[in-house]
Amino acid sequence: MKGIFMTNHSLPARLADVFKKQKCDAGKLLFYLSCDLLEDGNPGETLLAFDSDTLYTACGTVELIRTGGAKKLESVFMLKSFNKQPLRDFSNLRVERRIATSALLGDRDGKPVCLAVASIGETKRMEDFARAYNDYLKGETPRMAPYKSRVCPNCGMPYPEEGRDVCPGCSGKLSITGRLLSYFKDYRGKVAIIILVMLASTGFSLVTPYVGSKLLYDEVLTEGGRFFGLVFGIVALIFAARLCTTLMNILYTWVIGSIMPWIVYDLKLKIFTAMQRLSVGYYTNKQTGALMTRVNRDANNIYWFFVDGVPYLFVNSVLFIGVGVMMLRMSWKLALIAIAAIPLVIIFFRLMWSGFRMLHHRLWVHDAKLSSLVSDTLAGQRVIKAFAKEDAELDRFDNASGNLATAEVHLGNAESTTFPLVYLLMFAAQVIITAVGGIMVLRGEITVGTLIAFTSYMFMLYGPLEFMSWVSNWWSRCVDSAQRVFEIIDANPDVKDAEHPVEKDDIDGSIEFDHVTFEYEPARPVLKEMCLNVKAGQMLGIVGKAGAGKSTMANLMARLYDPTEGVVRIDGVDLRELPMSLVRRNIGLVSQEIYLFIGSIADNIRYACPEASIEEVIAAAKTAGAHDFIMKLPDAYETRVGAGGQDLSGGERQRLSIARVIIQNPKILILDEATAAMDTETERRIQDSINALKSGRTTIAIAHRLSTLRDADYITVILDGKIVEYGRHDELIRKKGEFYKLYTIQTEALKYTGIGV
Amino acid sequence: MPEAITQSSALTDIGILTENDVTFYASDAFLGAKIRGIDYPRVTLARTLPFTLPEQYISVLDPDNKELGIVRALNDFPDEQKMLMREALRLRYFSPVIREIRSVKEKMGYLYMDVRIDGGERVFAVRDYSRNIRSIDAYRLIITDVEGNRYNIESFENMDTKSKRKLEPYLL
Repeated sequence: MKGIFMTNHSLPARLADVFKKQKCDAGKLLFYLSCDLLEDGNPGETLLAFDSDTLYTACGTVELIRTGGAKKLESVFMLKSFNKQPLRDFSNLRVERRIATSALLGDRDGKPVCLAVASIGETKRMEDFARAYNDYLKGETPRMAPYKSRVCPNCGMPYPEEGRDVCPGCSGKLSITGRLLSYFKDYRGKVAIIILVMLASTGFSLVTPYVGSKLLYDEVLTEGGRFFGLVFGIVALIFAARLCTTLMNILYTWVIGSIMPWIVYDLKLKIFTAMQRLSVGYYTNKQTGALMTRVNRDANNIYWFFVDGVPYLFVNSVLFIGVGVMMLRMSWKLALIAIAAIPLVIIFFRLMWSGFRMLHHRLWVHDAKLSSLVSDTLAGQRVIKAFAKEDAELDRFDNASGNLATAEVHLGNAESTTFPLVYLLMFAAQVIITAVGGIMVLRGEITVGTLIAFTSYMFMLYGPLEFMSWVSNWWSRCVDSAQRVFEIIDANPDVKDAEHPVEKDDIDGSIEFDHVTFEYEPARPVLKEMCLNVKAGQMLGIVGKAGAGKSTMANLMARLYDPTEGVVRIDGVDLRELPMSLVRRNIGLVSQEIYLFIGSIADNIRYACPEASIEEVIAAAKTAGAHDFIMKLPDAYETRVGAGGQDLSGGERQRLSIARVIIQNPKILILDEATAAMDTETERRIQDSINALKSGRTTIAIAHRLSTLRDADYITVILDGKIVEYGRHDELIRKKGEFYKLYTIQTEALKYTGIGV
Repeated sequence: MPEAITQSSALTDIGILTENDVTFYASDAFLGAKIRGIDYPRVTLARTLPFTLPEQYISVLDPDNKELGIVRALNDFPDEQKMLMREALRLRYFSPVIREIRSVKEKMGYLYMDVRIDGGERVFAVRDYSRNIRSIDAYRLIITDVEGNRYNIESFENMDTKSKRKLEPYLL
């Protein structure tokens, strides 16, 4: 037996210890499973492991013990029981899911026995263990997926999103921000202008209180002042300063507004390019809707942060420092009082915002509940009326709506009390400063102008403070969005062109599966060492139960996925070595889900060959049996289909899909349940037309309905990822095997409905 | 480009009728046709590409909507027949042409339009206007109202400024 290996990480120390004490060789173990419960469901630890002839079970509890007089408690594994049983005693291991736990069951002497119990989160690993055990007993190669930690190695918290090994708490904010900033590289000049202009703007706004208060009162309006009497002059100066600030603001907002959309454009283009490059496997893991929202919403978050957040942050920081400096210059005593108040203000703002966030969140929750209730009842009107439950639904609505109103009242109350109180607090600070400052003026320590300027500067402090208290959140959201965006850009396509693809212009169309194994998820093979040979120009029919692996075979032939093991060959060349463009051009796949793009019917049919003439389009539509229903539509071939367009039935869409692939005219045609949504008569007509095009083309037809495969040269039956039968139609009937079984079931069903076969 | 399609006779035979295969004649205010010797006193003409190729690839249908053949181009036929065919198509595809838009009001997602067409005025409502105001190419628009009536705008650009401004906010 090749490749027996222990794929999970080696036995943890406490368990290896147990083995040593029991004088058993842990080195010989093949697989182990650690369950976090005892058999009776109480917390503890159960270890299951097996080597070539024995199944070991060790049960114990974890206790906190004060070891040897030490002050701290240590957790120690206390072994309660250790069992050794012959491997062959147990067979048919399986997992039974309960409510919050799962149990590993096995058969001993024909009777089921419970081997271990674990929390339901461990179910997958239990199933892997069971499969590895069963495979080993059967003499097959047992495989277990490598143990993948679901916990962030940095902070120890579990990864919140399935399949995404990213810990939001530990993501390097700075490195991601740095990467975002690199997108500004090409705009260096403009960014420099922006920074300079923002600095200038801040400078001007710092000057305004000085000129407008201190100079005004002390030098212009006071006798003996330097500019005594020059009221108009000073007013002009004040206005000029303000005008400059405004001009600078306009300038930098304008420049930012001119570059940010292009940066986001750049980002969106990279995302879209990356998404096009990715293989089908990526899309099946994440829902398309989530991806769309992600791209749009995340790009927007990034945009607004840089357009609004960053400039504001920069300006406010500079302002803050500038104001501090000015205040200290004018009167360090007053400045110290003002600065002492700042920490209090920051704390207060933080508390306020977190309180509000809760109220906003609650409001959002009730709003969302009400929306979903409304859309639910509107969509389910039929059922509501059928059961005469209108009044009950009305009560539900009343309740939810009432909750929303209450939440809004709470928020409104909070807002109406908090904001005035905050301003009162700020006013109080100002009053204190005025009092202290007033005394200082009377004592002659500072001038009146200084006091008034000081008060103005204090006001200029509050804006930045408030902003600082929530910019951090904004930044986090932007970084989170950027991370998701970079994930897409960085994702590597699973299926890609080889470095030096084989040069080939055309293909004949022979297909070979050479011991192909494929798994969508690790250690769960869908196809197991499949071997198949299809000669160019033949028609092969594939039948099997749902989930047997038929569509997977089609996906592998079309190179939407690469095999995990083994080789798929076209014309004797490994599919991975052929240029993808050649492969895609020469393989036509009609699958069960038909996607029609937004456009006319003619455009959709022509998708593979936009230069196809109208005659070719009509010809393809006629072959596919679509022409008749198309001509019934008022706009005929120019009817808009796809999202937001004409709704077509399942059978009509299938026929369009077939027409599409006929225009493509591929050497290999794969029909995956391509006529499933049609009645047998229409199906027959279409098959006849497709048959007329059979020569020189390799056709693979996958179906449940055996009538679909009537014209196949060879038929193969797939069961559980393996080929169980292969041969001509008549051969298989005579064999009286799987195919015969399916055949009789289907013909019996027809007989029952009174249709002779 | 697909070559096999043109080679396979089963595929290219889309049933083209040339001027030698079919003769059209007027039959009691309907259109009749004689196709390869067989007489069809009443046939209907249907466009395959009503917007892009209004006078090419016209499908000839019998009263049960079964296709008898496809005519490649109206121009292949002598003037007399051409006129008959044109008239038959005009009757089938007739929809009023909007000459002037007098007012467009939007209320709760519906558009209420007051327009002047050839030979009169019309007032109608359009629902779901993103779907029901359809631009065919750079110039033409088709508006479908809540009752299914269709209205044409042949060249939006050439309409008077007032009409354009009234409708512009609702064009996508």
